[in-house]
Amino acid sequence: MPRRAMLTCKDVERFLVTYLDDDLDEAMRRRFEWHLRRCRVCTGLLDQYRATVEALRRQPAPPVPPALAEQTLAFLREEMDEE
Amino acid sequence: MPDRSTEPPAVDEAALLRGDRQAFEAFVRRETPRLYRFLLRYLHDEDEARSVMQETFLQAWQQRTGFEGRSKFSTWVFGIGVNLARTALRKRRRTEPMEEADLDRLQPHFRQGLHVGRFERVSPLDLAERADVQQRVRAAVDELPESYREVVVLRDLQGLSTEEAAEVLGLSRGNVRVRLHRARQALRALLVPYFAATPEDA
Repeated sequence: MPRRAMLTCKDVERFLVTYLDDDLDEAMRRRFEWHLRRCRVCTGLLDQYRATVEALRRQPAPPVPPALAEQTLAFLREEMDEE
Repeated sequence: MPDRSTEPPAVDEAALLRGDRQAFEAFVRRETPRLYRFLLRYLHDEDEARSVMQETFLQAWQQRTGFEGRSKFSTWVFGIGVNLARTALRKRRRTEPMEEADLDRLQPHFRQGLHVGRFERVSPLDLAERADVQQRVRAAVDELPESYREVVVLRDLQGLSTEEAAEVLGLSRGNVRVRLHRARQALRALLVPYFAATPEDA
């Protein structure tokens, strides 16, 4: 049992982004994970949260038309020539 | 055959900032795919994404002396793109996004620090590949209030770091995280029923 008070579920929820960014300091990360190992509700939530982020990250990238950069440059050259 | 894995040529940023057009053109070639994808994800209209992108690059060129070097030049240009995309979106917003109160309702609730609800585990393995899930994810992202949607698109769809998203949007890292977290929780609440469903009954 860590000396400091156990984090509440509310604390854990608040630190989720920082935890997944791997940006919690070492002591806080240990307390966070200690809570997770003992709390099925928070584990379930983290699981759903991760699935959500994964679904977002795997959204297919929209296709880029092959000539797009050259067409953009043609537009820009015309505008820049007028300067 | 050209080697498609080759990185585009490096951009001489110092020359670009001095007004070297060739350096600027190299920059445009390098950044077009990323910027266009972001704008398309945000605007969902190819013509509009294209025209906002052109305007973004033009403004970046014209305002380059105003770049103070506090972030990468490309991040600064993305910031111009976000501003122009916001303006474009406001002119033609068809459906009203959620409000803060809707977002509040989708957050987990607590009593004395403990969760009020329960959360079933989900198996995300091939979930993200399912077309019905992809479509639902996109629709859910579009329902978010603009200031939340921007953060999700930059951070989770475009893959920017929290730091980069903060620079593009002119927010603190803490602020980006708060918005990102509220947005992800709302999306989680909206999407979990689809995660659990099989493709047939989704």
